[in-house]
Parts: sequence; C-alpha cells; structure tokens
Amino acid sequence: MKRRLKSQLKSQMKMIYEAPVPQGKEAFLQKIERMEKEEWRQEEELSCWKVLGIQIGYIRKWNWLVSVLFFAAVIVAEQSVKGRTLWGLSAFVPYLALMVVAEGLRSTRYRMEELELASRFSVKYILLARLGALGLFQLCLLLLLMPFLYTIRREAILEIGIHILLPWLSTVFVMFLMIRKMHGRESHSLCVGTAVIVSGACMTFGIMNVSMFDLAGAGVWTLLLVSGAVLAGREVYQFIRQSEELQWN
Amino acid sequence: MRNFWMLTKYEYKKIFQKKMVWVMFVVLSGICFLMSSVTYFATFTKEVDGKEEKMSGYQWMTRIREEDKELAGTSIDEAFLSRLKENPDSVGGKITDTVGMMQMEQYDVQSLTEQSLYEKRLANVQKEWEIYHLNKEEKEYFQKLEDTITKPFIYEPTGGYDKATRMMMVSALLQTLLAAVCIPAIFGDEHSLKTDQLTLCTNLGKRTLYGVKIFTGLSFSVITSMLLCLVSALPSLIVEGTEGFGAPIQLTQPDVSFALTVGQVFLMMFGMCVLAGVLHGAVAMFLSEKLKNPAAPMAIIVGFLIVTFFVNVPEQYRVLSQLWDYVPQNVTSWGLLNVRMVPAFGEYLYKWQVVPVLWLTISVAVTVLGYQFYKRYQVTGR
Amino acid sequence: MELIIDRLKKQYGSKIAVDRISRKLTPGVYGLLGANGAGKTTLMRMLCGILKPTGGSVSLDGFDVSSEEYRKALGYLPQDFGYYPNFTGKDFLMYMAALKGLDKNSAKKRCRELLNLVGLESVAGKKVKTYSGGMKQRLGIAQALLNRPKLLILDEPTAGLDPKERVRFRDLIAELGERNIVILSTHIVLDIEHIADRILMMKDGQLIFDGTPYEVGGDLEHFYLEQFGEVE
Repeated sequence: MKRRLKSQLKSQMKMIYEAPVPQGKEAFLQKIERMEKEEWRQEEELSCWKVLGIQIGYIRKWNWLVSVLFFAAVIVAEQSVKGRTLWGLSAFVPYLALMVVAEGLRSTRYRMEELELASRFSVKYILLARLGALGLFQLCLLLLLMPFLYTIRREAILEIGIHILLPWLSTVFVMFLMIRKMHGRESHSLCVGTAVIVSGACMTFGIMNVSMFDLAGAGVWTLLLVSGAVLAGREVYQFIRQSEELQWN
Repeated sequence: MRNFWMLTKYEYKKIFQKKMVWVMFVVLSGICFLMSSVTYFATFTKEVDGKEEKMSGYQWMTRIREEDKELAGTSIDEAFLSRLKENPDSVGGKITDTVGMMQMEQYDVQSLTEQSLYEKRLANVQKEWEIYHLNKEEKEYFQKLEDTITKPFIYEPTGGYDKATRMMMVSALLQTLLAAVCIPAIFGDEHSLKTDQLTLCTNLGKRTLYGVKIFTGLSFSVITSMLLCLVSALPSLIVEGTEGFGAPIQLTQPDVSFALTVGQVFLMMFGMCVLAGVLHGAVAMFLSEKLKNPAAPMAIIVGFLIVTFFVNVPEQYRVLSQLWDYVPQNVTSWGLLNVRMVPAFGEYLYKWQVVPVLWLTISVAVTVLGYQFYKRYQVTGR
Repeated sequence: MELIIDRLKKQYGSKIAVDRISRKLTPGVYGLLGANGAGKTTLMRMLCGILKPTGGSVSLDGFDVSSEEYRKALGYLPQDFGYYPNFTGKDFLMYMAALKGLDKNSAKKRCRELLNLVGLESVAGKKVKTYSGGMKQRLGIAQALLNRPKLLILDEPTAGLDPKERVRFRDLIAELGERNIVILSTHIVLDIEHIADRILMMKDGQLIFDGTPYEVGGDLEHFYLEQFGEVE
C-alpha cells in the first residue's frame, strides 16, 4: 500500500515539475573524459623495477621457506651428525634448483602464457623476477653455507664449494637446456628426472664413501665448476630471451 | 582375464611412452655399471716380483683371482701367519684382506699369532654386541653361534660375490629413485590429466582397473630392481669369478657370527633389493592415489631417502633404532647382517627373516588401503 | 586511432595459415567469422604480438606490434586460457593488473569496478578453480579490460556464457566499440549480427569478405554458409 502511494506520488511530481534542459552537458562529459585520461596517465606510472618487485611477491612462499629450512637443517645437522653429510647436501641441492625451474615454468604449467605474453610488462619480467630473485636467493644461501661448513669440517673450502655448487649449477644448466630444446609436459618431467639423476649420483658416491678427489683432481673440478656457472648462466639468459616467442611459433 | 592383460599392456605403454622413464633407466643403469666396473678400467702401478708394473684393474683382478685359486684350502693358522711374517709379498690373493679385517683397527702382522688373531676377531664381534646393547640372553645366543664356527678359517676364493653384494646397495638406492619418479604417474596422471572421468566409467569395474594398475606398478618395480641389481653385480662376477659361492661369510665379513655362505648373502641381498622395490612401488602408488598427484609421492620418497643420509637413531633406543634399521635404505646399505634380532615364539628371528615379512605386510596393507580410497573416489570439485 | 595490418602472413612449413592480409581498422566493432582452421586465432595472436608473423607488419597509431606502447593499449582474451589454481578471482585480476603496469591503488579500484561490471563481485574472494566455465570466461573478459585498452581482441568471448550474460556482454562491447577498436571472433553468428559494425570473413587464411551487416543483406548465417559453399 505504502509502496503504491509512493510510486503514485513520484509520477505526479514528475508531471508537475519538469526537469530543466541540460546545460553544458558536452563540456561536462569531456571534462570527465579528461579526468579519466589523467587518471590513466597516473596509472601508467609504474616502472619496470616496481613490476619486478611486484612479481617477486607472487613467488610462492614455500619456495623461500624450503630454501631457508634447508639452510637451517644443514647447520643443525653439521652440529650433530657426522659422516656422509657433504654428499647428502650435494644430493639435496638439485631439488632446490628444480624448485627454481618449476617456479619459472608456472606460466606454462597453468596455461597463463598467452595472457602474460600479451601484457605490457611481458613474460621477460616475470621470468627475470621468478628466476632471478629465487635463483639468486638460493645461490646466496649456498655461498653462505660454504664458510660455515669450512669452519666445522676438515675439508678445504674448494671441496665444500664444489659439493654444494656444482650439483646446483649442473642441474640448472641441463634443465634449462632441455626446456629450450623441447616443449610441453615432456620437458617438465625430464627436468624432474635430471634433478633425480644428479641427486642419485651424489647419493651413490656418498654411500660408497667415494671422495671427489678419487674421481678427479682439484683442477678438473674447478674447471667443471666454472664451466657449470658459465653454461648455467648462458642457458638461463637464452631461456628468458626465447620466452618472448610463443611456444608454438 | 583377457581384458586384464590388455589393460596391463596399455598401462605399460603409458609408462614407456615417457622419454623420462627411458632416460632415467639408461642413466641410472649407467651409474650402476660404472660404480661396479670403473676400477677394472683404471690403470694402476703395482709392484710384482720386485718390479713396478703398470696394469689395468681388470688385469690386476685376474691376477688376484689366479692367486686366490692357488690359495684355496689354506688354513689361516700359525703356519700361514709365519709365512706371512717371513715374506708378506709371497702371499697374494685376498687372504691378507681377510686377515686385516679380522684385526680391524690395528693391522699388524709381525706380532700376530693364531690365538691373538682369533681373539682380536672375537673382541670385535663382542664389541658389536655392546654397540647394539644386546641383553644377556642375546649375547649367550650369539656365543653359541660363535662356537659353531670352524676355526681356524679355511680360506676359499670368494670370487666377485663380495663386491657384487656391496654394489647392490647402489642399485637399491637408484631403484628407489626410479620407482619414486616413474610409478606415481600410474595413478597420479589419471587425476592430473583428468582422464579419470573416462577410465572410471569402465564396465570392468574399479576393482579390475585398480588390480591392473597395482600389477603394473609392482611388476615394473620388481623388473627394474632385478635389472639394476644384475647390472651392478655382473661386472664383478664376470671379472672376479663366480667360484666361492659356498665360502663362509666370515672370509669377507669376519665379524659376522651367522653360519652363512658368501653366495647365500649375495642371494639374500638380491632378494632384499627386489622386496624393497615392491615396498617402494606399493607406497608410491598408495601416496599418488591418496594425494591425487604424481609429484608429491616423489617428493616424499626422495625426501625420506635423503633424511636417511643424515639421521641415525642411537643404538641405546633399542626399539626405535631397530625400527629405523628396517628402513629399506638402511637394510640394503650393508646393514643386513647386524646382530639385531626379534624374539618370537621362544626363538630369535634375524633381520633377513623379519624384513621380508614386514615389508610385504606393509605393501599389502597400503595396497588394500589404497583400494578403499580408489573405490570411494568421486570426480568432483574440479 | 588506426590499426594498420600490412600484408600480414604466417606460414608453417608448406601450410599458409594467414595469407597476406592487409587492412586499416578504425574504432568500431569488427566481427571475425570463419570455419575451424581458417586462421582466425593465428591472425589474432599476430595482432596481439604473441606470435611472430612470417611476413608483414602490424601497427597501432604508428607503434609497432612489438613495442611496449602497443601492448599498453592492448586488451586480449584468448580462446582457452589457464589460471593459477589457488588465486581468487580478485587475486587473478590484481596479478594481471600488475602485469599491465597498473599501480596497486588504481588496480584495486579498477578490479572492483570490473568485477561489478562482469557480475563476479560476490565470488571475488573465491578461488578460480571453483568457478564455473561461464564465470571463468567473465573473469577473462574483466582482465582484458583492466588497462582500458584502445585495441580489444576477443577470441570466442561468449563461449560458456548463458543467454542473459551474452546480452550483457554484447551491450558492453557495443559501448566499447564506440571509442575503441574491438575485434571479436566467434561462431555465434547472432552475436556478430547484433553488435558488429563490420564483418570480416576468413577462409583458408584469406579474408573473403569485408563489409557491413547491411552489405550482407539479410540473414548473416545464410550468407556465411553461402560463402563457404554449404548452401547453393
């Protein structure tokens, strides 16, 4: 009842009071458009560094957590457990590398590539953020481990460095090489296989109590380490460069 | 039944269509082969008849094998020790390794007598009883076993069995990795690729489908286990020989009190590796069905494997350390013949008797439990 | 504003997917019709700069397709796109906004606007993996509009939408087409009939028709089938 009365009142009022003719409508609409454009210009003020920073925020939290936990676990293990720990470290490190690669391949895995490729800040920035940030973080942790282990163990720093860095670098190199040469699920599963193979080889040397210097001299290992670093860096660079071309190009 | 084998064929096809399976199998086999045969390809400089001679590991082992054959039947007694003291270089083969292992920490031939040698050996054996915190009854039991061992030891060539047995710990480790990567996909891929919507509509029923997948996974595990063990063992057996199957285990592991032969231990280790494959296969399939994911089981199994590298339960926690001892990696890496026993029905069961029963029971249990999850699975929420 | 497509070509081995298409497009709605495998998606991907052409060029107001300025003005909805499963609808839009260079505050405001526009405000906090097909499609449309694009490319945008949603979508596109260039490909002829200012028909990589709905002269579906030889 009340509603009917209200609507009746409304229509009566409309008949009695006519709305005035709009004045300056065009100017007002243009003003709004100009304001929109200004807002748009403000919205554009986002540098690529800021974008990189935003992308780092999208890296999954557990990637950081696992890396930190690994670092902490090594410190605890070294205090309490002796024995095959160096080879054990070498066996775990390829999985850290796998985490970095998996983070970089998330776009492909979840079929977001097309959307990300067509964006203003393209896939290159996403990959730089994911691979660069997480990769560098892990590398820093590994480098920090070296002096720590050197103070506790009797092995030389070179030996420790090779045990920690060479499996990581070689896994990164092989995985990115495979991703570039092959596409799709096959390359993803081969990445997993690579990490497992490198890890398996390290575990094998560990259980057989083989010293790395039984296998080759210090010079050879140093050369392998340097080559690993160069090749891994090169493959990552090529991967980022290639990512801008769509996989079915 | 025909459908069962047809479906099994397709399950195998799904596994072998993945490049990763082939790459992993070939590379891991390569690692097994290399670890067991790299010493045969290496070159050594050895002193032979007062002269330094360069020879390959293969040539060296062939020579050792010949010397071992000549030493067959030699009693490790006072006469032999005198000969060893007089002219150590006149004694070849692996017999000096046996004497060295009997002494353990201090290898010292000059002050050795037959009595002191066997006393040192017994002391090492009893030390192990202390390390493992054996109780009085267990010590008496092992003392009785000790009394049955013929002394002095009569040396026999042990061929390549010792090395082949040791190398199988490598194949067991690598088979675990192979199983962790290849087997979860049998169940996990159906969910991740969303083919479960199609396969679960089969008119053969879920039970048959589950049976096919379990059979495929377990048979794959067993076959790969056997192949990797053979790849590890064959180089040693070919180069160092297969004689000595019946040689007492004390010749290669002097601190063992069991009345076993080298060949029996080799076969036991082979069996353990295969059973470990079965266990890993069953657990991998169970986890992949429970978690609906092929990646998570791999992470769990490999993570557990790496943990065994770092974690060791002290022996004073008897039960816990004994359970930890039954973990496949700890059994296959030369932990098969330790003095841990399980009392049962007035007798003692040795590790190699308990482990197969335990592993098979766990395998069956997870398979049955996995079926319950599989049976009740509903395709929703995707 | 002008989108210039100059002798655009894409060849895979011996197969020519897009055969030297040249056009000048001005603001309006362009409906792209063609059979499966005609080359529509390939053309659209080249216009988005995510597929390198074998020959030819694309530019928008003088900016080449490979430039950042071009991508700034581009909104694209692919035919089949994925999503990060644990993202909520809002997370997804905020993420795409970051990729499109919007700062956080503007992005929040814009996301809210667009979620209202596409009718997903009530489920914005829910994970994308719980969305129905139509909801995902609407989310895709929303992300395409984040940066207020001057060039909007939509590949099968109404797939999975119910009739009510399709009408709503048509109105939105018609409004956008007044000031911007909108290219949409679809199999639903009715959608094109209602909103397209020009109709582009593709067959075997070539444009076989470029005209207004008026030039079609009546039933578009019949005309379409005639062009493809399905009807005498």
